[in-house]
Amino acid sequence: MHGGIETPVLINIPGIPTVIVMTWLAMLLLIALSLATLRRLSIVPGPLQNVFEFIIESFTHLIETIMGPAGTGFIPFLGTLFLLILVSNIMGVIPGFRAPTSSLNTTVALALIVFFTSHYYGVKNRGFKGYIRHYTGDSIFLAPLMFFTHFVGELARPFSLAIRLFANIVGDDLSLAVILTILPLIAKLVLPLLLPPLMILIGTLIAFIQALVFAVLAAVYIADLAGFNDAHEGASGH
Amino acid sequence: MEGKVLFGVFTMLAASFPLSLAAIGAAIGQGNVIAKGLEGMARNPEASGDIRTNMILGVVLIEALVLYVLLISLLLLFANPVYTRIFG
Repeated sequence: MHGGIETPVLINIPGIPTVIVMTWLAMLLLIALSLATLRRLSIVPGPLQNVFEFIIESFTHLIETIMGPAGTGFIPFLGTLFLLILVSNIMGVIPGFRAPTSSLNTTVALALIVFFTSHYYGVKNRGFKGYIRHYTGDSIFLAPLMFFTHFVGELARPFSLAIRLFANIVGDDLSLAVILTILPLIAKLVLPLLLPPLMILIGTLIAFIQALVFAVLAAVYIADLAGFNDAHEGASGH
Repeated sequence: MEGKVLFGVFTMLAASFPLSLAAIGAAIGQGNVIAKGLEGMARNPEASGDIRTNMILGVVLIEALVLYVLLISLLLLFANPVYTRIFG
């Protein structure tokens, strides 16, 4: 009844939870790739530099359409979130690894980082008075109602952010595990050959979309609290 | 013994049935979102970038509702809090 499906893991250090080892692996991979790219920067980009330039260019464009020109400073933060979550999610599809994001601890930690960042920049950009005013609205009679509505809404944001990522990746890994273990028992020839690649394809797609969605939602939350969109709406009224 | 079997059967029912209901609702909602989004893109191809981003955002927000149900299903199946309380 308890424990769920435990997949075998390639690297197992006793005393340290597997999730942390896997997170370190993801970090190590990203740092090594970045360093290897930075060492050989050139005007004519090599294959690795090309990939990174493509990622950064499209990501910058995406974030700028969401946050406006004021959001340029957040691109390193959001891009790091995106790449880390992308690598962690894809680790769940590769045999011998486990996705760090398939543990609620990781996703809650990431969501809390976004939560505190958005509120910090909310206070910093609007001032404390403007920050409170953002919650209460302009009318003083509606202020208690608006405050509590916004309060619950703000608390729901990191919750849904963490649960969304966690449930997507766990559901994905679990359906892959079920198909790989149970399908050969009931279907002998064709289905066990056809379905797993399909599931791996869907898993990779979901991994990418969820990483993107996490970064985009983080951008939306920060832009909302920091008030980028208030000025942006008038500017983008074409 | 009998109680455990009954508990297992009803747990599995409770874990699987609501998920299908949630999936029906979310499928209808997401279908509406995507249909309207594609319509907008076809009418105004210049705005397709913005529309696509917002469409995916909306789809994902609807998806989250199904995932809450999935979470409850996983909880019931793998970490049932009632099981230890009844059967120790």
